[in-house]
Amino acid sequence: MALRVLIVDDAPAMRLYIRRTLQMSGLALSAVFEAGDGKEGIAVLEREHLQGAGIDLVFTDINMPVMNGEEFVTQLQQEERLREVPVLVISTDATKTRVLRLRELGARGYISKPCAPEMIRLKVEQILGRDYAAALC
Amino acid sequence: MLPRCADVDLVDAASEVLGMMFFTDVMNGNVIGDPPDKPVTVKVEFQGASSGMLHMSMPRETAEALTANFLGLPMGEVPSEEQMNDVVNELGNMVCGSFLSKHESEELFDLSKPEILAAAAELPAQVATLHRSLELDNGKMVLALSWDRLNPAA
Repeated sequence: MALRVLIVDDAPAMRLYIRRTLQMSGLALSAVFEAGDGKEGIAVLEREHLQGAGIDLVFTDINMPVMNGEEFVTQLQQEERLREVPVLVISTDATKTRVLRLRELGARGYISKPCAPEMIRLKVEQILGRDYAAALC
Repeated sequence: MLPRCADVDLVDAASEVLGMMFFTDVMNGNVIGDPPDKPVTVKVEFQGASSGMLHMSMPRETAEALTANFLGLPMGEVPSEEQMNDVVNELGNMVCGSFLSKHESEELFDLSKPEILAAAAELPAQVATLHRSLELDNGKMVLALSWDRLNPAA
């Protein structure tokens, strides 16, 4: 099954890095969407949900303008139709307090930057299961 | 006052970020030499149990090489100014966050939005309490950290 992924980060370079890493990791992708902050991310999730396709996995940064990563995760948990979408936080802040707080808010996983491409694939497999992983060819 | 081993941890943080995400090795973590001429400099401020700022400065050629590596640009393609600034900002953010995570493992911290500096008056040597020059396999880089521990017990 091919993944539909949303990347939420205010840095275009980081969005491109994650997109490229996902494409090179061997994960089967059918669509990759991008948003520059949490509010834009919610809008993409709602739009895709309404169109019936939905999003399988969200990557989000923490430090963003308008709506940061913690507010984004909190908002998702309050939306009944969106709360089951797994969120993987990818950020430079790897303090235990931050990671625990994000888990309490509803994030399903955490990757601290710097991160190797293999770590991103591993975390996706942990969250979604190995069926999503396609062999590189 | 700087925390113990801050110099080692700062170089380690930079080495990890550059190696893992920019495919660049740090050949020497404490080079003695002149600061780069007309550098690209990024500043990141942090606040938490400690506060301070990190400056990273590098020649334009180094910034372009790191940008090309990070974005996976085709060999020989020169990144745009916007791409370079965006990637250098991200580099500063990651090195500062990685360094702080080594020292503030229990305490929350906040990073400012990274800022590319243009003014010569703000060059890192003038604000630093810790200063390291790195030799990279594709250039060089200067790290300058100023640090103020707000809560000595933290």
